[in-house]
Amino acid sequence: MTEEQLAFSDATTLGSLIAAKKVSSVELTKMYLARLEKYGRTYGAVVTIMHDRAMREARSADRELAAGKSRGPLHGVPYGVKDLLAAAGAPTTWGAAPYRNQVFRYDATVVQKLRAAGGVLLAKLAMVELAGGFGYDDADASFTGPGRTPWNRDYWSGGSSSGPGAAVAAGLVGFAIGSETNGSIMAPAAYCGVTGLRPTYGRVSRHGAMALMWTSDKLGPLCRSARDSELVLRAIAGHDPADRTSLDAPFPKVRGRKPKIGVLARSTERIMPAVANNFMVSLEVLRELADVVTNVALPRGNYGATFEAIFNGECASVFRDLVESGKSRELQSTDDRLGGYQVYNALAVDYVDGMRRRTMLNEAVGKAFAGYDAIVHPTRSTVSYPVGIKFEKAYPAKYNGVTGLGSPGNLAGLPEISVPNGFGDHNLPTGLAMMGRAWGEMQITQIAKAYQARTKFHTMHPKLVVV
Amino acid sequence: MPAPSAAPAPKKASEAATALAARMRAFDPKLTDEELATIAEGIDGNLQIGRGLNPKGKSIPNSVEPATSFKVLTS
Repeated sequence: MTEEQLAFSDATTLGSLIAAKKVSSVELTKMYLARLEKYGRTYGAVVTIMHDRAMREARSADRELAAGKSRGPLHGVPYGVKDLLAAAGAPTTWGAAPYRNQVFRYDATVVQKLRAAGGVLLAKLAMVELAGGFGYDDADASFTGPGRTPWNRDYWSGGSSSGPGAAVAAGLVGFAIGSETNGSIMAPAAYCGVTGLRPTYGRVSRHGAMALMWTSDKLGPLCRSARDSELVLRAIAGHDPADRTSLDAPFPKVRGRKPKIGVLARSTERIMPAVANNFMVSLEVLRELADVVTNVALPRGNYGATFEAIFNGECASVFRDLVESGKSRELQSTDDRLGGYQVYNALAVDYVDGMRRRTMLNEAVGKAFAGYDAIVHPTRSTVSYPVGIKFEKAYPAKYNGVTGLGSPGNLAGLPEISVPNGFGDHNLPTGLAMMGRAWGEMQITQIAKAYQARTKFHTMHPKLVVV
Repeated sequence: MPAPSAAPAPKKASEAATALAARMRAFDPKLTDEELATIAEGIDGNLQIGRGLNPKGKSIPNSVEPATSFKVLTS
């Protein structure tokens, strides 16, 4: 196996190779650390490379294996985390200049859990500043510069988990942990051609993660296969007393029957032709493995306004100190420098009304999609946006169609997975999204695995450059 | 993300939004008049979001509680 093949192997394969002693964790860790150094900044993917900690954890993993102790399928597998997760002693910058010297003394719960599963933490990965909380409108919204998709570095890697998406796609880590409040795992998964899984709200503890919107923040994996996303999710899931919203919810067994998939109505209207075409081809593949029902409508509702009303209220509270300190001025994006003052002035009554409407909308969504194992749609309406151009000017307005189930799914806290399903304009990848029922991650992961057993997009990787 | 999908703000800010925006100079005295005008437009955008919650003027039934409700903690 060449270094390139090894670097782009999925975590499941890497874990098997380590277990079979065909490669050591130290060898893999050295390889990924070198790749992070070589390519990380070219793709705006990395903030801090943790050489000492990574090598310490890799040596420990190898020692344990030599002594006959395995911590499971992720034993010795190197990974990275979005830089909103605390890792003891390393800077945790939240992608934002005002926090670039912030250091926590503890590991976030997901980092602790991955350590317990034998994972090796390589790096803190880049992100959009404050996870996009103040309303950025172009790719250059991080003190580390714009994240760039490894498929074409003139284009954005997506946000706000820009580094995890790019690092996984470029083979700089075995897998990565990102976060999603409203699209921050799904968008980079689509724009970087990787598999991203947003878990059900409460499935994974957020202790040690930057808060953005307490009632919607979720942590989840970005990987090179659907089977990896299942593996990682199982390792990081579970109740944590430090996060009262987290639960020990079981993973329901996937039943033997054919899954039932609903196709979101109007999901190919007002989107890029290549995105629509790839989606239609994907549906043909899904018909081989599931009962597919077309034209499943999202209940009427003002999902976007409801999400924003809630988001503004929570975000303003989260970042009150930053706004009142006047340090918003240090943020990278011009919109972010002023956006904090907008959310600071949101009305309390809109927040509470938003939460009341959320109750009604979530009930309607739950009822409408109850009979389906997954609702599918194109992950995004276009391929990625070019770096250096305002998002709104990147593509014609006619492509502003359904951007999936972002607000409805995140308001309801439902899980979703995005898998690569082809390429479009500028050699950029497109994504197929599948939203599941609450706690139904295994159902959507099962469908995603079956889809990937019939397609090769997740095994393709970009030709990297160094700039 | 938060996806880039904020409601479009009105071109000319209202007097109320302009007054609220001016208060932000207490946090950052370097805010320029132009920046305050942008903040004011954003504050008016907040009102649009509020109106967007209920575009048809249909009120929420009195019994509907917020999605997150207060819960007594048992020790």
